[in-house]
Amino acid sequence: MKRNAKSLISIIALFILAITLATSSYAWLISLRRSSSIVFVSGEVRYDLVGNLCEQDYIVPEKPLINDPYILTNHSSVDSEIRFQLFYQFVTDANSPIDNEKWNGFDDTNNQQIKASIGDDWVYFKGCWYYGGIIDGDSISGSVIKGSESTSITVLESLSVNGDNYGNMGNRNVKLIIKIAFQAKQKDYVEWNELGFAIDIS
Amino acid sequence: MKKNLKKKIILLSGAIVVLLAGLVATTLAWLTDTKTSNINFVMGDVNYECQFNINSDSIVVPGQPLFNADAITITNKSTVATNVRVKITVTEKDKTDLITDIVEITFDENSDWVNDGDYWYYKGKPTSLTDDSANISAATVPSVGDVLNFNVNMTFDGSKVGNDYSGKSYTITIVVEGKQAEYVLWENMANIDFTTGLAK
Repeated sequence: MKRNAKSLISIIALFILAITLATSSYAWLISLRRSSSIVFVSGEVRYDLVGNLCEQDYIVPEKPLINDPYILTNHSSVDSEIRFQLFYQFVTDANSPIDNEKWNGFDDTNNQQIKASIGDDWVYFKGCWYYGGIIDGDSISGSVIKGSESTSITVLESLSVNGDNYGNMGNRNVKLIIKIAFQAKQKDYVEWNELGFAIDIS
Repeated sequence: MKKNLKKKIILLSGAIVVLLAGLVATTLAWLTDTKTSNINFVMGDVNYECQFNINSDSIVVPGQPLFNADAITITNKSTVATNVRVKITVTEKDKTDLITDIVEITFDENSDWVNDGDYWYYKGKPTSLTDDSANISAATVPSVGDVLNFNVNMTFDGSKVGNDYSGKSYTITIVVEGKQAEYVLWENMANIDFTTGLAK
């Protein structure tokens, strides 16, 4: 009987010891400091492009095609740079689909079939118009548009078919298709030449 | 044991590769914005059809009308407002020298055709692009399907065509030219090839 009691006491003692050991094994020597929360907000590059065309059934060379100039308004939260390309194509058969191989890019020469008046401070370089562009050899950087400022920039003031260069195409209902492709990028850490000089409009 | 270690190393290497690929992909995602505007227009068309009502006599004499009534009928098939003019030239057959002054060209009193230089202009020759009644509006052929009668009276001038002209053949050429009414004057079309619409 006495022996049984001793055994029971031993088992209980061992059990308490095991629990004590187990508990103390979590009590490492540690120290803890937590920083206050670190939150990053990703910037945003966002522009609105607005403009109005003259509503008309048929157009003739030199007739103004734009009612209100096309204007970009900056709504970005970070500094940015912008560029655009102006493309045109005459489709002689109105039922034909647009041929992506036949786009003509509007450049800074006068031998084009359209006339366009580009807003101030745009510089033409390798197929694109860069706002405030400064050419440096094979690369270009544009004017910085501050993220905090809601700047409005005129892209296209007027547009018409160039009577000197557009001739009779022998078809009725020749379609003129204009495409304005605009791009903006964060000002820092990436250059236009890294993004490529051509804007994919296909 | 060694086999397990090798497997762990391979798995770890794979994880690092995936992580690096993820980092590279992330750095390409720059902050950008893009907008594309598509604008469509339909080009106008200047197009006229002409019918000539010519005297069918093969041999003519001075004073004899070379055209019948409603000498030339000009039908407007254009899709935009236009101006029209007509030019008449005369040459000896297979020659190029102009001898237009051997024909007498007259119109009825109320004719819409106004002579200026080598041309007869429908309701006159606008001299300004200002849209007033004296200029563009008056001379504009407004509607598709409008028919203009170039009711010319044309004869060989008996005071100039004597016996020297007997038995000879002459070529009369009538050129009808149309242009868009707006944004360009006749005087700006001097060097334009009316077939192509481009400078000669």
